[in-house]
Amino acid sequence: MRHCFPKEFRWLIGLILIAFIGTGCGTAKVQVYQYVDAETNYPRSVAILPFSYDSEIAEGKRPHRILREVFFSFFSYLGYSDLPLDTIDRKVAPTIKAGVNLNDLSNSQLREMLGTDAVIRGHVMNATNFTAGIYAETSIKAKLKMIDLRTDEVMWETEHNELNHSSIVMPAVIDLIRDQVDNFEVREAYYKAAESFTLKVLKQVPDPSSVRQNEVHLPRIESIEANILGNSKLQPNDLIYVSMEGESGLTAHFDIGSFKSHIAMKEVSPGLYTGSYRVKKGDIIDNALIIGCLTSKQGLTAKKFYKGAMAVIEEARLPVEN
Amino acid sequence: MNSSLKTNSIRNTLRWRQLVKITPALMLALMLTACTTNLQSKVAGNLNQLSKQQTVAILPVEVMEAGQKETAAMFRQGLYANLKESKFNLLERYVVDGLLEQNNLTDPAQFLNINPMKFAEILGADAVLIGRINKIERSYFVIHSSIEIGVSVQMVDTRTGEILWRAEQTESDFQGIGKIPTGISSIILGPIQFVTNKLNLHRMTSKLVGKLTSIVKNPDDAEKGETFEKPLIASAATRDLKKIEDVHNLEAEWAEDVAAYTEVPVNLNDTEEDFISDSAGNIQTKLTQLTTQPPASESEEMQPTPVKWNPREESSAPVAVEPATTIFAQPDKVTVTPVSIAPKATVAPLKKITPPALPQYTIQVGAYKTQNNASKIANQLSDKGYDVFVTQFSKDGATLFKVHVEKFSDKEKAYQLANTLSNKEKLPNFVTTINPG
Repeated sequence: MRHCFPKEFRWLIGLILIAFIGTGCGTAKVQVYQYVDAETNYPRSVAILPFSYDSEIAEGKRPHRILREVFFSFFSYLGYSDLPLDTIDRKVAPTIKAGVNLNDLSNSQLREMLGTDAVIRGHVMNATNFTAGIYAETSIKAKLKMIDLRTDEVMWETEHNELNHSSIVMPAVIDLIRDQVDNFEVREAYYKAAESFTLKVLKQVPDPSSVRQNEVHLPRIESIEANILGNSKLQPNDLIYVSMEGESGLTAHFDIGSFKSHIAMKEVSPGLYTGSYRVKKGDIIDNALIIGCLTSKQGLTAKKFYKGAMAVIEEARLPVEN
Repeated sequence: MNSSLKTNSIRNTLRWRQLVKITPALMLALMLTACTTNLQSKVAGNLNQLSKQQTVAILPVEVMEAGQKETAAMFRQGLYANLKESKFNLLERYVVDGLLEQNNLTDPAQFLNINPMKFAEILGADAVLIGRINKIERSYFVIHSSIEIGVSVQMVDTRTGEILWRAEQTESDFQGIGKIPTGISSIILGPIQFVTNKLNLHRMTSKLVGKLTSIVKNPDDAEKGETFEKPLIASAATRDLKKIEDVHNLEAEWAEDVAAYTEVPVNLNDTEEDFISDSAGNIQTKLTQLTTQPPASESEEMQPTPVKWNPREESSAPVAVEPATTIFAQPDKVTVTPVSIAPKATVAPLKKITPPALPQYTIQVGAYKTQNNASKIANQLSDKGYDVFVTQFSKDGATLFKVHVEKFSDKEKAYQLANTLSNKEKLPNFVTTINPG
């Protein structure tokens, strides 16, 4: 080793090593109690409850809300069916209005209220946004845990402090100035901290995607028919009539290209759906294909094109991409 | 003493002058050394039409090198997070990945070559977002290091093939002497730390996605240069659309001819109407191809018409008919003349026949401008055992060759065969009479 590097380069190697060690920093410690596997009945649907926050944090800064929103946005990437935040808020609103703390509700009460397999509870313990001279920091310290409402088990939990800061120890003046300026934008600064927090935590949160991928099945559509002819021009008052055969007992609609969507179809006999649309004055339909759509109870939609004809009202043609 | 003070004063003045000179350079450095973004993004007006009723699938991101996979996943995750609060719904990632895998579409490099309509049928999505990591370049030169990320995305409407959004973005940042290091060690340490720390790549990717998606979240904010002048159709979509259009063009000629025929003001009371039978076998619905009725509400429900197609029964074998028929000239002097076609089909010799006392029904399956085309279809049907004949029809100097199948004195039987021809042979047709009753 001594002969490999000249003396004057040793300090440089030391710096490089320090840099590498530095790169390992910045992970969140997530305690996982139950991992996903095909056998376990891992929670499928999750609700992220409103995060509570420490009394010392000013409500006006809303770091707990920002963290919840950001966490929800990124959490949707994982293979859970996540209840939209506004739906959750709407469902828990009467309880909160009645003066009941969500933390005091039992898991069974929450399950009844939200209808999900699990909830994520969050508590922001500390949040700072500080800019002074050559030093600036924004931090969010929070505890999160996911609880299976069916079994009362905690699936995972974490306590993490995300700190974004800049000071004279920053390697460059430009970065220093930029970070100081950025830190003045409190909301943006909290968003950045929340994003880093979330990404670090989610890296270690169990993801049931691989298990759920195999369960995905779109509803079956056998055939679709429409009463329009190839190249025929539609006129106001013409009736486009569509019938579709597929799985029974589901919700159906049809689209006319992107011109008109979600035109309701009715199941007139088991597995046979029909619907119609009457062309109006001013409708512009240009080479639109009729698309039958069948939606399952799980919310998955299958589509089938009727390729027998295109609906046309105007002669205008879309240019072909070169 | 005085001279020393004077010297100091002069030195201070010089320092201030130097500082004043340096300040613009510092300002310039600040402007130039901020991380740079090159974003070219265009949206279509129809992007605004997407609402919460529509679903967009963000497909796995293509990479140019295996080492870019982590960034690609991060990029896709960023797209999901940033578009979560947009005007449309996102199809969950596990659903997208599961369905793609079930259809053996696991190579993102193929996605641009696949007709978007296929994605609609595979994923049930109204639009797909196809992304690619074009480059991730890291460079290190002791006192300077840089990272550059290049991505491109395209959102395509799967219902029309229209490109709703197309963007290319390059995000680059560096560390080193150009950013005015805060110390000697920073000159060396800064560039190493910058290029080796994964968090920097993640931060840049995150920043990139934020800028990239802002136009999709707020398409109304798009400036003139950021919108497509005309709607663009993805090249993969045009192939299939062209095929469909070609088929329709072929059908169009037939359709026009049928229209011409049905215009004939003959005293055949019901020849302009087609019927299909309902599940109970009752004839009830008029099947003119475009039904014009009084205005009604948009979502009006038509009377349900479960269509029961009766298979061709053995008993409904072709009814023996006269070998040739001439339809009498109609009041408007339209003449229809039987035409000889290829040997397999019934050849109608030109001879005047005596009209039978009762009307006879036949099924017309086509009308062509050339005898050759009429013969082709007639022969095909003849090969399948149908009794086919072609008649010549002239009006206003134009001649049509009509292809008919069978003759029945029983109207019900004619409809049964018409259904069979529609169902089994996929031939549009209608029942008509070959002589007035």
